[in-house]
Amino acid sequence: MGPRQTELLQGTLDMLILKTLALQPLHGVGIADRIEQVTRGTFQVGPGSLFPALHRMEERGWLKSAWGETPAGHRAKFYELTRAGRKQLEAETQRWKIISGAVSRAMETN
Amino acid sequence: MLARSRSLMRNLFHREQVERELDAELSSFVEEQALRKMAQAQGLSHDEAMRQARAEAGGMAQVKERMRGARTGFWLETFWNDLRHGARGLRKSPGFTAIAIITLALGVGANAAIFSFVSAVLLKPLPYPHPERIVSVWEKLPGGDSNPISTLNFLDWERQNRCFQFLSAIARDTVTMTMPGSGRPEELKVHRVSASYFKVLGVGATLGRTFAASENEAGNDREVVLSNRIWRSRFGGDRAVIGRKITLDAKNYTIIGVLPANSEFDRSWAVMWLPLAFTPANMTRNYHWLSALARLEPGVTLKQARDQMDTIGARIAALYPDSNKGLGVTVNPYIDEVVQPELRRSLWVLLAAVGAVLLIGCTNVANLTLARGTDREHEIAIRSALGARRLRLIRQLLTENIFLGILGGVAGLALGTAFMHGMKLWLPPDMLPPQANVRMDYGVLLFTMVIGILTGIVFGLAPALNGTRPDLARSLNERGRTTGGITPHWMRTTLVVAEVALSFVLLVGASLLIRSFDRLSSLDPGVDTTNVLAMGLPISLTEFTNSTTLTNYLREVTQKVRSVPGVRDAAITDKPPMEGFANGAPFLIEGREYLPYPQRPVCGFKAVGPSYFETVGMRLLKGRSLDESDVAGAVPVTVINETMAKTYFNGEDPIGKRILIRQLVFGKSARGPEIPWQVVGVVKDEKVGGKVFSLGEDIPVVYVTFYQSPGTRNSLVVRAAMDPLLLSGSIEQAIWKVNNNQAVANIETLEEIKSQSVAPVRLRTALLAIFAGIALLLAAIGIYGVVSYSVAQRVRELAIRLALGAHPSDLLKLVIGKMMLIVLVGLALGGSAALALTRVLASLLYDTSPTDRVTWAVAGALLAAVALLACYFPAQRVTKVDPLVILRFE
Repeated sequence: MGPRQTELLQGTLDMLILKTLALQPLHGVGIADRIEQVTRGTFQVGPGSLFPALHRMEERGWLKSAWGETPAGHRAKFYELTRAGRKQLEAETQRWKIISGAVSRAMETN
Repeated sequence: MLARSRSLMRNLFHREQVERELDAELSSFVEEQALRKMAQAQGLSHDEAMRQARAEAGGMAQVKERMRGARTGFWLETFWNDLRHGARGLRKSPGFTAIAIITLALGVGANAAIFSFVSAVLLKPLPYPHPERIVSVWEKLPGGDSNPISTLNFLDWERQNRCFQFLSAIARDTVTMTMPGSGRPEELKVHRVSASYFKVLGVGATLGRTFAASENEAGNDREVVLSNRIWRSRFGGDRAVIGRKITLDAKNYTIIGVLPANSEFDRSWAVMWLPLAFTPANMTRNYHWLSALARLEPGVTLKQARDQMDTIGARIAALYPDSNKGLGVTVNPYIDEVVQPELRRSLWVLLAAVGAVLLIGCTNVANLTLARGTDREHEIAIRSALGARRLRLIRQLLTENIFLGILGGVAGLALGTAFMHGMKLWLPPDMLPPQANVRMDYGVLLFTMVIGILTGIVFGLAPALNGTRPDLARSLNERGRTTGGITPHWMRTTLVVAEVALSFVLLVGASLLIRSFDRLSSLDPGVDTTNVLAMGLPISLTEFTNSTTLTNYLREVTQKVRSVPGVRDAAITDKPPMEGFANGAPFLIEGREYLPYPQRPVCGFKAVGPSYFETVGMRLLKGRSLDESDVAGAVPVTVINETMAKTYFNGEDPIGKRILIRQLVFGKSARGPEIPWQVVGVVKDEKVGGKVFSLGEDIPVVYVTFYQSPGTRNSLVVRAAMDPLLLSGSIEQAIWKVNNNQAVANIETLEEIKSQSVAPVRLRTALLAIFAGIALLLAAIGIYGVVSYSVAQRVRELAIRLALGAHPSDLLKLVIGKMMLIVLVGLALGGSAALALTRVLASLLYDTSPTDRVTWAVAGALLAAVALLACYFPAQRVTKVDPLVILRFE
């Protein structure tokens, strides 16, 4: 996997995580499942990229975490959005709309 | 921000907790995935499910490393880890560490020492307030050279200028003081200065005061300001010294002030400052004896001052054409006078040389690190496999090297301080300007540490980049089975080329200086320096008011000294050989074209006793020598030197010709009427020189007897039948029998004077030679290291070659040949660099061309020979390879 692709994915991954957590706090497995589900399997997020991303976003103050119990009864770390995280999500959504709109238009013109 | 700093604290100080959480989070993830697998596939065991989940998740260690990388404070923490790891690694390979630190310490130390001089002499501003406003002012000769100033010219400048806030004249002089304790008369060097002198510099007394304006007047001038050093050494540092009377040249002076301690005044030529009050005897325009310093008015530029002084100079020249026609005024920044171009150039050359030594040192350490890096390839590969990224590994290696650089820097600082003190001891007096205070100050400290650390980065970067190339599989699988090609790794090759090239540049530079120094010091001084003593006999006008008393006295002193057992001959001279002139003389040759005074050619003028030539061993080429009958009132006669005869009488016989020189009036700073000096003889040149590197020049000189041109500046030269220093006591006693107020100053042998006259040249030659020697040694060690390493690496390959029938000597030739090829490339590169760089040496060389073939050949041969030796010893191990032993391990 080339570095350029990772970079693209990283930004996207952050956005997807923020979007996922906007609904409710989730733990690692929950987040990965949800992303796979809503993208209909396009993105399968492995722990190797998921956890570093979660930690990085927590360091930036977008997420906060607490230990809790999963529906299946396991102890796991749950992440939820902070206020800064919500703002970041809004900003990312705006940015994404502009970019995706632009890219779509570019790809549709012949 | 707050959240961030809180998490930094947590990450740094509760590391274990953070690590535990990372573990817990990951294992809960894996656990959950495993449970999910078990739910999906019936009959899957828990262990198997866990195994699969782990495999899917990828390497746990790698994931954790990346999670750690995302956390704040990671940088600081890893820095600390790297440092500890590095220190451990260095402890584990003490040989490497010692060699690396010694090499760096040598390079950094030499740099620190030379830089302390460069900083003090070239980089620091002069130690005065607004030093850029201080200028030196001279008369300008028609050819553009600076010339001392006559009294009346100075006074006109002082009255007419509007560009100087203060203008001060300075006259060098010596006075005799009878020491309170021993009762012996002693010569003291003094500056007689205008009252504004200390205002020009902007320096006050630390005790008492400096001169007031009224003290410029004769009769009001019996006051003295002491340097701090003489105050401490001769007056016991007594604070009550202010107001005390002392006797100088049999006149009473009052001590009014003491100058600051450790200032340039403590390192100055003079030890006391007296007011310069002009007497009627000084009021002339044709006797040039003063120097001058001035402080520009605020807002006045150098250009404005030059323009104004040009106008004033032209006005004076128009009014007094006989003395001033063609004379202008030179105004220069004082700093240009304080730091002479030759010293400036020497220092830059030395700094460049130590810079090159440091680079070679860096190269060596880089080579060592590279070799060590290959040994550590396995370790790096494992770390890399465990998830360390390349940048992270490079940082780790760099941290280690910077740590090494800091250690080298600290050791270098200690070594540099020692070097600096050593050089200061070795330094000939007056070589550095007194304003330069050479010491290890913060600037030098900073410089040293910065180059130490930079060194770490420079020598560490290449090996770090090289050692972390992602080539995991090879490193892990083929541990120790590397077979390098016949040529060593390109990086090592480049390093050797660079080393050889740099050393060659240094070696050529040093060889040129050595050759030049050799030529300079093997110059025939024109005098026989064995067993000759010279000493100053300062004489004051207070004691000898008329010239006849003086010449009689000097004759008596000469005779008394001649009668001392062991003394062969003695003679008065106004300056000993190789110490320059007391006077220069603009002259005309009778019967040739008339020239106004300032436009006349100048020759050296020496007033000597008739026995001078025999005493110092100069050879008469033609005519007769000076004689006891050439006294005042008799026909004025002169003996000229060969250069004078050749330059101004080319082809003609000078004997009988008359040379017109204006009389030096005794007791006055004035020139009298023209005296026609009749040439009676020609002597072979003595090297007149001066104390600073002018032994090489051939200067036209006229010699007259001191009876016919008496003056107050006199020395005595004495030829002995034995080591003349043993006689110095009895010679002094003989002199004191004639006059017990006579100071006997600077007793030196001619050998000492000769050696001193080339001392600055010797110093820079020796330093450059030492640096070149270190460079050569380091280069040899570097080559040795590379060859022995590549031999060790390729032992298996060589063994196979041997097994296939190669002869050991073929292998030897192979290894040495490859290396010498690299050395030759270095020599070629260094040669072209040296060709460009040695040009800057040209002005420091005496009678030696920067492209001198012999010198180049010797330097090249020396380097090649050393390189060959450095190759041969490690390479010959090849011949001892036993293929059976080596290949059995396969």
